[in-house]
Amino acid sequence: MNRTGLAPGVDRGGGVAVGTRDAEFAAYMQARQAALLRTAVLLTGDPHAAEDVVATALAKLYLAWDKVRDRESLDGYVRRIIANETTSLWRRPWRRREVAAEVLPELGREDTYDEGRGAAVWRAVSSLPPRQRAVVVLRYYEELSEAEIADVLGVSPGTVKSQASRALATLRTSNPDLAIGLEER
Amino acid sequence: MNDIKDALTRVADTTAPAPLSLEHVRGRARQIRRRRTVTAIVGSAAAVAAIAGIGIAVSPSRSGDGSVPPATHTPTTAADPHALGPVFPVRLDVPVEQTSGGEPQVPYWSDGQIIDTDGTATPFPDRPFTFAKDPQTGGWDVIRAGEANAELVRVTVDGHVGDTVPSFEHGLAVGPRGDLAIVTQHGGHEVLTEGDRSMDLGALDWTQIHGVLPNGDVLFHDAEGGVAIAHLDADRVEAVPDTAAAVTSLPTGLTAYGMNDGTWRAKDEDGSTHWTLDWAGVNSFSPDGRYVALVGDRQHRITGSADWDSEHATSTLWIRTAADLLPVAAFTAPEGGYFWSWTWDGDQLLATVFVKGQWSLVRLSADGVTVVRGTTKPGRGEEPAYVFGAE
Repeated sequence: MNRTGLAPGVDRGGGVAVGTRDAEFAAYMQARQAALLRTAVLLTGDPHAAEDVVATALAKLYLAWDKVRDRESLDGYVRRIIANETTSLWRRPWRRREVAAEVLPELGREDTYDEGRGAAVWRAVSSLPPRQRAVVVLRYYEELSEAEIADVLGVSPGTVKSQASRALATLRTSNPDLAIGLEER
Repeated sequence: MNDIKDALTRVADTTAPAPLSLEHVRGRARQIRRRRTVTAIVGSAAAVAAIAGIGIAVSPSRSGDGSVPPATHTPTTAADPHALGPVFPVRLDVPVEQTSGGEPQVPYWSDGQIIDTDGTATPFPDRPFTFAKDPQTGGWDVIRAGEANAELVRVTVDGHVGDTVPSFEHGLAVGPRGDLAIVTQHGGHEVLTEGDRSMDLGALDWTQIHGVLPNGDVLFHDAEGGVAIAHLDADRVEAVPDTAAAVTSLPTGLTAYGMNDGTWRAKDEDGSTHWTLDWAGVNSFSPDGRYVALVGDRQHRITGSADWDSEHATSTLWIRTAADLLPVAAFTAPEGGYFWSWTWDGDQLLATVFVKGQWSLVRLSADGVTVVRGTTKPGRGEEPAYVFGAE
């Protein structure tokens, strides 16, 4: 970072050589996209939707690359876009439509590596409303603080706390002996 | 021990898709840049147009103003059966002497300033998403949108920027008495205000204002993803079944609802259906309620575009009669270009056109296309040189 607070190659006017910009962006992508894809899978519950959401988030980041001054907080910026894009998925009318099929899709195989305990937890997480699910994923997978989650989701820390509380109550209903280990965090 | 962490890690590690290539992301970025067509059902652009249209209601109509000569008079008949009536291809290569015209009679932003209808300029460097004049203060309420969040900014006439409040891109509309309807976020709750009335909408992941009814009730996007009516006087919300979008007309009370099946249905205040529409999207009613603007259809998409999930632009704009959808005129953007935004100026449409890195402002009237601003402005496809507001 130079004394202007901008990354090398970025001028005061926001202009930057395309080659330099692409190289910087590619480096960020290479370093972070695997983690972003994993988070997106948990937020969307579907690998294809996750790929779509992350592609859109990274594309928006690419378009805005010259305007993102604080390169230290890129992850938070992209997480916000992913969270918004995931919400967008749910508000698209065609997502709510069901299509009748002649043949039933292949059922998912039960993962029994831990006698089905993990699969049961995942099923319960998957059934949470989108906002509660996002809070659970960001809290217990990403291990973000309540303040950080509030920033990502654009809500107050109090809302994060209440959403988390409701989510855990739901999860405990289906998994009474659920151990979460982070309650005191 | 953490069962949730373990379960989520297991799922993430085993089901995450393969990494994307830089070319994939750049391709998506190009797609986002040019995806400026409107689906029939995504009516989010309607709120902006409705805002401006409602605002224009108090402006003098420029209908019949002959001071702006037509740039083209070459209507054609489109091939598809829905394109009845004259179709005007927008041409920008017109002689300079024909490109002068009256200033827009709606407030607009350009070159870092908000220009009021009387020519007063308020400095505001950031490009707004939309804005409207605050009848209480005489200043501007501006929605400023980033990639992740939108916020409401209050600006005085001399350009002093006040506090910002989290809001939504389409969280602003003008009510029947000129009061602003605004949705803001407060501690995880969304609060709707309209004039001196307010109402807690609860916790919404996302919302927008679709429009305001003649009695001041506000149509908004509810938590279930449909349209709901906020009856502010009764502090009550009423969901409108099977709807995803809505466009209102203050003078007539007609409301066009975008249904979940992709069609539109126009109803009057008694709930009677006036017409249905299945080939285009309803965008906005003209200020006097006589006309309706429709956007795009799948036969008129932007060449090369494969993405219909767009909030804004279209390659085709239609003007039809609001009462019975009779054709008045249709306008097609220049090849490779698109209309990004538009608003009613009397019974004409003012539209921004983006072609080959240049922004133009054109006036679309029933008898042809007239160029308001002959001097184009360079810019990027997602960064319009002009943004319309409401009065």
